[in-house]
Amino acid sequence: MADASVSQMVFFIAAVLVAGSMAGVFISVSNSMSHTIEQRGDSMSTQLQTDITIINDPVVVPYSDGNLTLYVKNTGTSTLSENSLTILVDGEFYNATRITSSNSDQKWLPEKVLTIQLEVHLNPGDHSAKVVTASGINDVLQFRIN
Amino acid sequence: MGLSVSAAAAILFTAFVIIFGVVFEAVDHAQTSYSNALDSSFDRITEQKVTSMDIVTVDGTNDTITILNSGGSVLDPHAIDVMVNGVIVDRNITQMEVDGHVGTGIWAPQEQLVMHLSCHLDNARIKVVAGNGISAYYG
Repeated sequence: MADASVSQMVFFIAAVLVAGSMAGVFISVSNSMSHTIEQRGDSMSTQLQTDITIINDPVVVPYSDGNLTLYVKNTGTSTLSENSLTILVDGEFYNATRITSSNSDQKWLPEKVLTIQLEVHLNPGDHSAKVVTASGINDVLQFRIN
Repeated sequence: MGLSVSAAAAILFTAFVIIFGVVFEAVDHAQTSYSNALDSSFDRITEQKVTSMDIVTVDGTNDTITILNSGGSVLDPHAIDVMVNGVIVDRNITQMEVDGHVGTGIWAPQEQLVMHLSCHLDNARIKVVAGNGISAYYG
């Protein structure tokens, strides 16, 4: 009789321990999954709220002595960071030599224009510039250097 | 044996209830966030579709630009960027008036915005850009 009680107690403890361990693992995985779902939702909503437009006049883009100036306007509804932009000219990556905006805190507010200056050698003719934000939203300008 | 199974089932059931709550909250948060952003994006695209501007006159004598809001949306004159010969001259805007209202933030359809600038506009190529990126050219 006593042996049966002990074995039942052992089974009970083992069952509780196994179920508890499984529950812990499941809850941990679901927490991780829910965190990922929230991040993915936020990322998608950020992408939808982000929009930029290169507003240069395509036939009179400021360019002299190897310095190209691009004007990029935040035409979305989210505030962007000036430092997270990728700039491609004719498909090649360039670092901006100077980025200026009307704000001093490096926040790029909606409807505000960033002035981006690049050192790039361009021959007279047709060219393209592409600006990409951290969320992958981009705009392309086809322009002509006279 | 029966008690062991019941206890394990109770623990697992409680865990699944907690998991359902956590995942449901996350999915609801993501769905709400995405839905709001989609609405905002749709509104923005719709506004862009109905936005239109025309540069009516450029007065090189008084250095003024007159622009007609020829679209169907109300624009903010302070969000307008002006480029003269490819260079932004927003800092050269000395005064803006919409149908005689100086400094107003409302530029309604069919109203004319007159911009006074402190730079020469003679024979210049001019581009104006609204806050939502819609533009108009002159010259």
